[in-house]
Amino acid sequence: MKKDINKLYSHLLSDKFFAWKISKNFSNKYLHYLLEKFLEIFPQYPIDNISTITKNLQEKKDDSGIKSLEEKLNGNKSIIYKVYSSNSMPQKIINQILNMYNFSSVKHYIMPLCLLKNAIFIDVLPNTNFNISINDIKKILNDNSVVSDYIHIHVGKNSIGKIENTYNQSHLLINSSIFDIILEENSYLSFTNLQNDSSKTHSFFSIIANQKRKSTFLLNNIFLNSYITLNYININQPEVNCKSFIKWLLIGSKHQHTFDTIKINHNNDNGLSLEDFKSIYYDNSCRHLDNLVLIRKNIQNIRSHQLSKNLVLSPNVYIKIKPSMKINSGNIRCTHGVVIDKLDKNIIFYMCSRGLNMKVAEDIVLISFVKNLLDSIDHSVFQKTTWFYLKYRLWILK
Amino acid sequence: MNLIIKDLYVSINKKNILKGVNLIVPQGKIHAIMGPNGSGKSTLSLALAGYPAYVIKSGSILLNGNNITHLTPHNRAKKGLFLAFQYPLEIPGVNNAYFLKTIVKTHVRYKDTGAVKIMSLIEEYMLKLGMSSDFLKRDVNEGFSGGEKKRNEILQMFMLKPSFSILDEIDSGLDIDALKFVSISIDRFLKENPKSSVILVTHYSHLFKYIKPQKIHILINGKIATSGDISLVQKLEKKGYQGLSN
Repeated sequence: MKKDINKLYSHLLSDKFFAWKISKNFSNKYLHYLLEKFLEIFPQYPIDNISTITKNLQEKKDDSGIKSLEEKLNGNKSIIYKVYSSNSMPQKIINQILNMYNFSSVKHYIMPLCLLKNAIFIDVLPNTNFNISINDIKKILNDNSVVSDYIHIHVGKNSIGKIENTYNQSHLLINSSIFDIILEENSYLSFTNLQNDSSKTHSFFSIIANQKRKSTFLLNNIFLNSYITLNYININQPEVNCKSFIKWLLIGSKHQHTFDTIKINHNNDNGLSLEDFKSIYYDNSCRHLDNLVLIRKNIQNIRSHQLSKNLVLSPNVYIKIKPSMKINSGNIRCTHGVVIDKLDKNIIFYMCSRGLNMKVAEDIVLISFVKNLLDSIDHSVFQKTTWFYLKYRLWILK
Repeated sequence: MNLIIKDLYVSINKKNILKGVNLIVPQGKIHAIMGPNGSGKSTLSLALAGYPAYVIKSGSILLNGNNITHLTPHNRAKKGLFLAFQYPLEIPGVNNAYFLKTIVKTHVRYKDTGAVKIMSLIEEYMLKLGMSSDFLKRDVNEGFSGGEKKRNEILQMFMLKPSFSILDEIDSGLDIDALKFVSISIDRFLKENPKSSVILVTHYSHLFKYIKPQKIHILINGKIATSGDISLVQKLEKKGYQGLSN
């Protein structure tokens, strides 16, 4: 086992293949620990090269439920679903998934991708109103042991709708999803993701979205619990009049480490991107946020705003937030800002002076901190679920 | 007796602010504490309410016979103490109606009162205080004018019906009309609650046109320099604080 670890470790540290070393702040010791954990779960993991990934996929068994799932899902003629499990996945599809990524730049996909369990293709036809729950699909699959999903979403021209995805799988040690989203002309997608894994889960979540002209993409991300979370978001606006909105809530606790890489590419005129991050940190939680807005040369009339508000509730919290904008054009309006603060003791005192005990006062302040962001998420059922999680989290973290 | 302060020493960041304050405010009485800037008026107000940054070095505070010197702020409030802040805090994201309902509901007086009844009481008092129902939809004190913030404080006082209130510079930041309205409202509260006592903390005497304190205390350099009836104000206006302290 030790030999395997060292071999894998040396591969990962090489230029070609250093998947886990996403941040320079990952110490080698820590990286080593992660690999040990990884190999405990997957001792058979082949590490020779990327081609072994495809081999690995084909060797996996179990495609139960796929056919019946497709039959059920395809009852709706305006949405076409195709679902593959690892052993039923044609080589063409595997290649499509693998070729999507430039492995030298998107390193942290490699390991989750090699564990790929399901590939789900959702094709929303033009002029459709839709409301899709990824969890409903997984329920039909009757697969609670999902390690890694590849989910391709294609939203047709003039289609409007919502997609929601919830992780509440406390038993998983590694949980990974790769979303590959294409929004056609004049389409609208509100994508909401709630992640509430266990404090032992290593979670990988990535979204690559490509927007066609006049399309709108709303990304609502809520992260409540995990051990290690690596998030990679890449939104591309290659055509004119695209709008992208990100609303992001993180509640970090215990030894939770969150590494977020977010990139928005404005590659055409009249683009809009608004990013609103709110985070509460308890205990020894750690967060790295690398947030980049890139505006290509000679692009006109771009509006882009990033704001990250952080509430720190423990002296042991570590935060490194890097908002950045690379602006290569003139006619634009951009702002970015970061606020890191503790609970306002004067506000707590004011509330206590009215007879509220400190715990209630702090809860009210914490809930008020995230309320506006949560209220603005247009999934009412999802909102209720999130409030429930949040209140529970705030309560148990005291 | 309602409030007894005995030889109170208070410091902040190791700096002594109050240096032996002695004060007795009987039940149903209005006292005023006046003093120049930096004399310790606001420190006294906040120390009475239990502001954690102020350290009580020695002395005691008795409210209705209970020693509240080392109680937490919320327990002092539960014993009947109320502080109207000089600068009421803004609480973004917390709806005023929700806040009022929450603080009222935690009060023993309203333990068995339903939410609908509480809301109708709040609306009734708002009407008395000339506040529009719009106040309820806004976040606590956020974007309120100076006058609106002070009215919101008085509304909370009306709802909680404290046995002892400290009104810290309730007149600051108010125009003539707002001052008159707030003063009349306080006067109405005291008439409706004759057993309740009040300390008015102020720089100026213009509040006394509408509310007549039985006793005036002049706080200078962390101590009560002198006390007297309302006629002390006339002396103060003639001589100033410096003249009185000499």
